Amino acid sequence: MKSMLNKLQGVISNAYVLIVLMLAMAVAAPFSDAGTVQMWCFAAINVLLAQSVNLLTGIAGQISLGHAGFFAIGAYTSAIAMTNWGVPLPLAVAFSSLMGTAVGYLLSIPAGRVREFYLAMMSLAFGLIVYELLREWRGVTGGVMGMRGIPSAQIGTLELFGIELGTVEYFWGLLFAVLVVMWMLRNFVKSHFGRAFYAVHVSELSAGSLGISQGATKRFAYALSGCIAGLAGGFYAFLVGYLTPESFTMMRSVEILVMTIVGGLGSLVGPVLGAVLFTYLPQKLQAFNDYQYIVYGLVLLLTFTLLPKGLAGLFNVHTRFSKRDQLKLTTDANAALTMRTPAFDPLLRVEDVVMEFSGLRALAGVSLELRRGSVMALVGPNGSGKSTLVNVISGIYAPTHGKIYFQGRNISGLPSHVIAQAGVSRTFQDPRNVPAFTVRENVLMGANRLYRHNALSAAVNAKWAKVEESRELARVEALLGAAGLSDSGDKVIGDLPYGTQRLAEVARALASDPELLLLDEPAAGLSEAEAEQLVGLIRLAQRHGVAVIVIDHHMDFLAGLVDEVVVFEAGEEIYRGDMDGMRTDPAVIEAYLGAEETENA
Amino acid sequence: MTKTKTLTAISFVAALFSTTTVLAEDTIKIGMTSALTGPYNEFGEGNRRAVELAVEQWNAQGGINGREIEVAELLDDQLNPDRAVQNMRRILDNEEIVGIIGPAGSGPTLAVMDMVEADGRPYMNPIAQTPVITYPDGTTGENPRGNIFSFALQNDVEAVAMGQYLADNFERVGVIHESTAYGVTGADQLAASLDKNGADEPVAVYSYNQGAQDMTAQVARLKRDNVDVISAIGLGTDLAVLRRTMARLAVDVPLLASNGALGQPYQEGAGDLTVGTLGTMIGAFSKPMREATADFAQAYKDKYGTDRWWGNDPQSPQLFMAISVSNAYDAANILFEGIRRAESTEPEAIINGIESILDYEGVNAVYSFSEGRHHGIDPDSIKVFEYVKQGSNMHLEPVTE
Repeated sequence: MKSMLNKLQGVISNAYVLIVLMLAMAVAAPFSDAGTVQMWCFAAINVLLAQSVNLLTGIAGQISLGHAGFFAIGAYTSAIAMTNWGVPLPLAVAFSSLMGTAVGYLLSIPAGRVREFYLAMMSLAFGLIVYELLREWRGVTGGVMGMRGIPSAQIGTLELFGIELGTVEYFWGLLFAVLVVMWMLRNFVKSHFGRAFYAVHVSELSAGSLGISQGATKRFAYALSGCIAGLAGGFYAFLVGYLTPESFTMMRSVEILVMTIVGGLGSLVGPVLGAVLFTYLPQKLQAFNDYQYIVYGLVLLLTFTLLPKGLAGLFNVHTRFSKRDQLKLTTDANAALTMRTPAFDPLLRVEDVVMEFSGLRALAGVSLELRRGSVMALVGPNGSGKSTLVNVISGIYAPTHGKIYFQGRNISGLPSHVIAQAGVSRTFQDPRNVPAFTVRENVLMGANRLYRHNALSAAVNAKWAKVEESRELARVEALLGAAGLSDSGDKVIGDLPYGTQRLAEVARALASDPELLLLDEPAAGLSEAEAEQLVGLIRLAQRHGVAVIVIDHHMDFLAGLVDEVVVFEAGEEIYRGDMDGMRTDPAVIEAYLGAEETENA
Repeated sequence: MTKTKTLTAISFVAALFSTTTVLAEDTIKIGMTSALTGPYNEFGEGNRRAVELAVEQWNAQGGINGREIEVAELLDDQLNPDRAVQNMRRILDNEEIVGIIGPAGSGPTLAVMDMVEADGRPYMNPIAQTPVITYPDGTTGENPRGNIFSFALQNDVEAVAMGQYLADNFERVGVIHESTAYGVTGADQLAASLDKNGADEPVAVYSYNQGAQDMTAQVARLKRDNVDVISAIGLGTDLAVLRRTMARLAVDVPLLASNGALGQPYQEGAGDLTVGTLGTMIGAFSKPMREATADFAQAYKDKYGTDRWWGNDPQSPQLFMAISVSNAYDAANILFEGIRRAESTEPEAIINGIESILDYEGVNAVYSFSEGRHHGIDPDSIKVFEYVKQGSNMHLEPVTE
């Protein structure tokens, strides 16, 4: 059984097998009866729908309970374009995906403001609104009577440039579209765009620190998802030849979501498996007569409990989020970081920054300066304001008063992703990696701000995209080496020990080739050997002219590393200078150990 | 990847995707797709029982011209248009199928209509009320689709019966309808029918959205317009809201509703206010029943007992059997009669056979078809009924002959 499963998994996860299968179906289509080919068409449309949900929900993490809305918009758009305006088939279908894109983009604006349950409710409402519009906007959609007389492949009324298209020819076209979409999606999710989608999914805070704008990423995800669902709708209209609002109810949305989940969210093979299963399941379930709803429910229940990662999980299929498997990598591991020329002007200047949280003063007027290639430690008891300062500099909080200049530019109050784009990288007290990614993919995510190629180039694997991806992969390789993680590069980070995750997060911050590196307690929980790796990484950064701020409590760790120490107490600086001076400073001792009892006690 | 693996994969997939048809020899095969399960199976399952009863009866008498009848494809679409399209494709792909019984509602029926017409084999529409299913130009009795025959109570036909009753009994007709194609066209057809019967046009026509929870505004205006009857075209739950609003605003005029509104949801929603509500309905099962109807009722009871389609009263079947069961029974019988007359299973011959039928004693009506006439139920098959209370049960009693 196990070996069979392994074989099957090898077969299923192989892209070429998929292509061979599809070619086999294309060849077999003319020799099969119309009903069989029609079912293949339905399956292909479901594949598109499942991929659309997968992109939005599985990869970008935005739940959608209203996907039938996009599907409907696509279907009605192409039907109206062809029957009313005489637009030819390819244009009509393209038009529906454009419409889906536009609606997706518009929907993302309110959707970007809500999360989780509220987002689920909002997407549900979107589906309901579309459904009601279809019913009530009679002049355009035909209302509850639906739209009749749409040219359809199955009754031979569909034409392309005067040539009649039958179900078989239509299937070929649809298959081609599915192949192209799947190929582009595969390249897309393996690019920095795909990684950005996933980053927003896992932690919006951490995505911002990588220079990823969560708003823009979500808008993009919605638009793209709408585009694919609209495309599916466009094909659907000319397959069935009749549109009724009843095809686009909430149940349809749920069905689309369910087939994606059962197939396996987050992978690319999963939605295909789910879509095929759910195209045929109702047909096969007819054998159960009155019990088919129960059997259907049992299938769902069993999948959700036994296969939390869906069918893709059963076959152990993983989608990888870098183009490493597609590229021939240059072994020439260049320097991991750019060498910067030391400059006399301070890189970072913090001027009298005050941070208040509803009356609580976390920072009470902090000022400091930092030059390229210098390492500064922030020290102080818990709650003294060290992390708050890092959060203010990296843009997670906007300061109540005061200014922060980075490379001479005032960055106080800018969104975190803009600050990260400018070259400020940071780590968090608790590592915020993407658990499902490998170590390499996590580190590569850090390089996000260095990519310049656009989404289309990423999707078609243009030369530009390949060159950039190779360059960053080579840098990541060098960084992994420097962090002592070369052997763990292909391991899924969520399965690795805590120390490795921390080191990977530091490597990730360095992958952005930053000007300023902010490390929030990087040594906490590290073994001695790992701490040494960490010191190595910080030294590497320093040698290349990166300015570093480290928060830590381990004085031994800091001792050989830092140029300057700033000690905080209750939001105020109480000491600034070298390590030795700090150990003997009475104010520091008092802050850490408490004041000695006075004689009157 | 090795060759054997590829072959295994391909055959695995081929097995998964292919639909198999079992060949049986020399029977007359028909296909059916309907809502056999799911939330709307009241009509579909009733239809299935009726068709199987008809097949059984014909086969007991030796089949059609000596050949047994077989329901070769019996598929479940759950009133889902996509599923209906897939099922219909499967039926049409089976070259041995000679006749088809269609789905249990307008949505799936409209979805399969074009492909069925293009295919050309005879198709019986048991339930879907929309006239364009049979008459694509929208005029009943003119230019039917060649192979489609309807046994449904078309909503234009119902409007004629409603119009007659209103013209005979009332002066100031108020109309309220749901804001759907069904409601809007129904209201138009009702106005036309009133005109045809020499009555004044409705004094007021108002609409509401399906699922409306409040109709105070519409009812208050009807009251102000001083109507002496309210005619409603819509569904049961909405009709119940209307009836309760009428009671609250003390609008004490008769309420006449379309057949779709008279069922269980209305009774449940309106409670005791149900009493006195008028409605149009196929009158086949009101007493006294015609012989053919009584025979069917007896045969149904013998085969299935007094089930939920039969209703609460063991002595007599409920009126709704006419739109949930016996319509499909008639549809199957007419199809078989057409095949018998044709002495052939060629589509053209069967269609000619059906079009030659005159005065066939069916359960719901006496059927006649011709080249231009492809629907079975006329206004004279429809009666107006009134809800009366007998003990704790509500009953529909005829108020017209």
